Amino acid sequence: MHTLLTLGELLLFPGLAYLVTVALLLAWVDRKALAVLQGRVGPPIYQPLADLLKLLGKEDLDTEGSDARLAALLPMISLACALTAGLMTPVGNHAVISFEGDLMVTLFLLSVPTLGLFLAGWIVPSVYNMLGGNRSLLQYFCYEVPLLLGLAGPAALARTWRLAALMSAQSAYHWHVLAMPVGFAVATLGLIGKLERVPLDTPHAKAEIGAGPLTEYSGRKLALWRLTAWVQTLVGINLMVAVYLGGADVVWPYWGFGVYAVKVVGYMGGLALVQALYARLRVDQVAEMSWRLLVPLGLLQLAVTVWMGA
Amino acid sequence: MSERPVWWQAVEAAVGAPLAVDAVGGGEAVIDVAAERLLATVSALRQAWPALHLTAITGLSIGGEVVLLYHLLLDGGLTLRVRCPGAPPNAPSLAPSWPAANWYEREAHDLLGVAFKGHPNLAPLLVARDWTGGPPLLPVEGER
Amino acid sequence: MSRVTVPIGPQHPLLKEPIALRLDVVGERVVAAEIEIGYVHRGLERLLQERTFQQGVAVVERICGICSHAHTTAYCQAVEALIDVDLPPRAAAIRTLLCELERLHSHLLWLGVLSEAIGFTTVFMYAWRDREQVLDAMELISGGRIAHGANVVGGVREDVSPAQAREVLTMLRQLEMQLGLYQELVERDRSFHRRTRGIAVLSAAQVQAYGVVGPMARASGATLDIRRSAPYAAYGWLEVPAAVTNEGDVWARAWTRVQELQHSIDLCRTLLSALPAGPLARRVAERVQAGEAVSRVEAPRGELFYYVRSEGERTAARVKARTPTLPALLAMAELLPGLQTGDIAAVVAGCDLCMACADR
Repeated sequence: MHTLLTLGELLLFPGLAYLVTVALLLAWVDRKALAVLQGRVGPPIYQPLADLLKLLGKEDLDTEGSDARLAALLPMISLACALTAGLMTPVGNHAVISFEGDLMVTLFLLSVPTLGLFLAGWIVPSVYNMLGGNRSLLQYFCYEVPLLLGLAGPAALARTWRLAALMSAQSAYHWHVLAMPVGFAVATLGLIGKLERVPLDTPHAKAEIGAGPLTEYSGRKLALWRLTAWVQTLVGINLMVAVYLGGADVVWPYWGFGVYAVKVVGYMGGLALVQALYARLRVDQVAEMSWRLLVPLGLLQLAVTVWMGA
Repeated sequence: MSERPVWWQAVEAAVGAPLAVDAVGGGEAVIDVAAERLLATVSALRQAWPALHLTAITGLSIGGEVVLLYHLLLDGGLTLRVRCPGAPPNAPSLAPSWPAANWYEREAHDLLGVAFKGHPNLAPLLVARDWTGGPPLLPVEGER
Repeated sequence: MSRVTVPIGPQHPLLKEPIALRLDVVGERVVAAEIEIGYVHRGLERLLQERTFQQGVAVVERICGICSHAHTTAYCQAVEALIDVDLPPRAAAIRTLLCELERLHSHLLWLGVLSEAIGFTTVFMYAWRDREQVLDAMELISGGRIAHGANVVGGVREDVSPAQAREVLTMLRQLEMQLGLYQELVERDRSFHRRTRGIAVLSAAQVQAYGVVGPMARASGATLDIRRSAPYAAYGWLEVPAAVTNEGDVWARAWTRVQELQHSIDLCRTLLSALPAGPLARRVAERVQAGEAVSRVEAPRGELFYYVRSEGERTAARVKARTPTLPALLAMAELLPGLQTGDIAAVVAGCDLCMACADR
């Protein structure tokens, strides 16, 4: 019985089926919010699913000169890592897997798709893929650190690296974002960099290098990469909601899931707003913003937190 | 022309002969310049008017002879008319001293087969690289 | 670091029309650039030698999909100079009105293309939405959004009724309200400045060397504007302000165009408030006496030049069009080396290329 329950959790809720469904819905929220902000109509709610199914049905081409097996393996590994990370982030007030240090493991699993993307670009003999892959890697080095620093603040304050414990440390509206707004901003920008969203979307700047590392990909492989990006977005937002925005506030225990859902959608809307308000940064500006602005601010926040807490 | 335009003296000195000026529809002047005096005339004009603007080079074939028109703009429009003798027709290239002429000369080379002496790169600009039909604006034997 | 060649075009998301840029890149820096055009060469200058002067209007209209009215204006002007016919005042005013509306829609289109190139999709959407209003107004007057067919040799074909004038004025008022947004964008938006300031600076000397015209030249301190220096159509009655700045970078090109948007709105208003009465066109003979004529028009992208030669036959002996994109391309080839790859998009979009014009 217990095994069956675990299997159900893994495959249905809050596992695979749930994560994929919500990731698709969230992709719609993202696109719809951006459309409304830009004065457009925007897509219908099923559009991301339709896109995914259409891509799955398209001819899957292997690029000459690239390793076909690796090209097929990389999106699978990336998607698996993103989904596994999804199992560790709390959905509502429940995570499938929870242990001390799961925050670090989640972050590590989230960075695997970025490395996969770099490799995916690297194995294809095309300049767009190669430049895009290089930029992906550069961005990884630049934005992993601010994200980690941003998330380390609350962890230091609550003296735990466990997401569930971090969440319950913020009960009764003592959200970490109120205590550490700078850390929240640093972590959000780090997340935007990690998710390669505007203004930090240089790895797939359409007007410069086409689709970047994914330029030569099509069909199922591209569909899996797309899905990976959407799941990554969901997991990243889950993480922020849990660490900074109080997760599913335990004030209304029965409404926990609803509160959590509202926060996730709200955060997604915030990311869409950032996308609507800014132009893309150039590669050198991307690196400059990270090391000159975000890292010092993140360190400062962490130092102040540790000093206050000591 | 009762009153001489501002460019008269500079051009006359460079051309080295009394000027014969035609008016062209649109109110701009045309003067004949011998092919070998073209570079000297243009550089004299550019010296006198640093803001001299090269609008275009028109190539045309009149009764079997290729004529180039250098349309300039200073205070008003001024066109230098250069007859290109020879087969293939040839003319000195302005491009080394005035980059603005570079592509206009390539275009005249494309469309009329004018060989510009001293041009850095007379590769086809408009017509396809594998085009073998000859310059499209030159009259073809037996046509018209 | 190794040197790689990044091909941009003939097909690339950055480009709206086919052109091939071959960029040699070391790391993230462009070290050499080569441009190849001719992908949409249709031999239209040759075709014009096979058409009567009146039919030629329809051909030149199809040289360009943005500044089609500027092309017909320049062509008709040259032919009108050949047959020595004067333009009726009402025709001149309507021609000019359409010229300015076309400038509005071309500049808005450009602003959208530039914004998209730097990843600023919101401005792209806004600019193209506003451009749609201008196209609607042009459709209202001429029946065509892109190919207006409004010019004929000797005048114009389409009248502007008082009701149409009122509707266009309403559109202009709405557009002017939106204009504040674009002014704010170029004046203050830091995100926009970061991607456009100090990039691909074109000096006044380079403008002269490459013969660059239009807003791109005016952004580098040149004052050349045919509407002011040699007024044609109804520009002689109008006060055309100059939008000139000395920075010469991509930002300056945006600033110049946003200023010109406001100027064009004002010019359209002036024209619509006092459209002269009179005939729309003079009757002209089909045959044109021998002679040659030139005409210059300030198209949205800059000086557009036409040369027409007649040998007294039904068809033209030679029609030559020099479009403003050609010198812009020459200058662009000079601007690209030394840039970061991330700036290529802003620079290429900022040069406002029209390949259909350049290739003819």
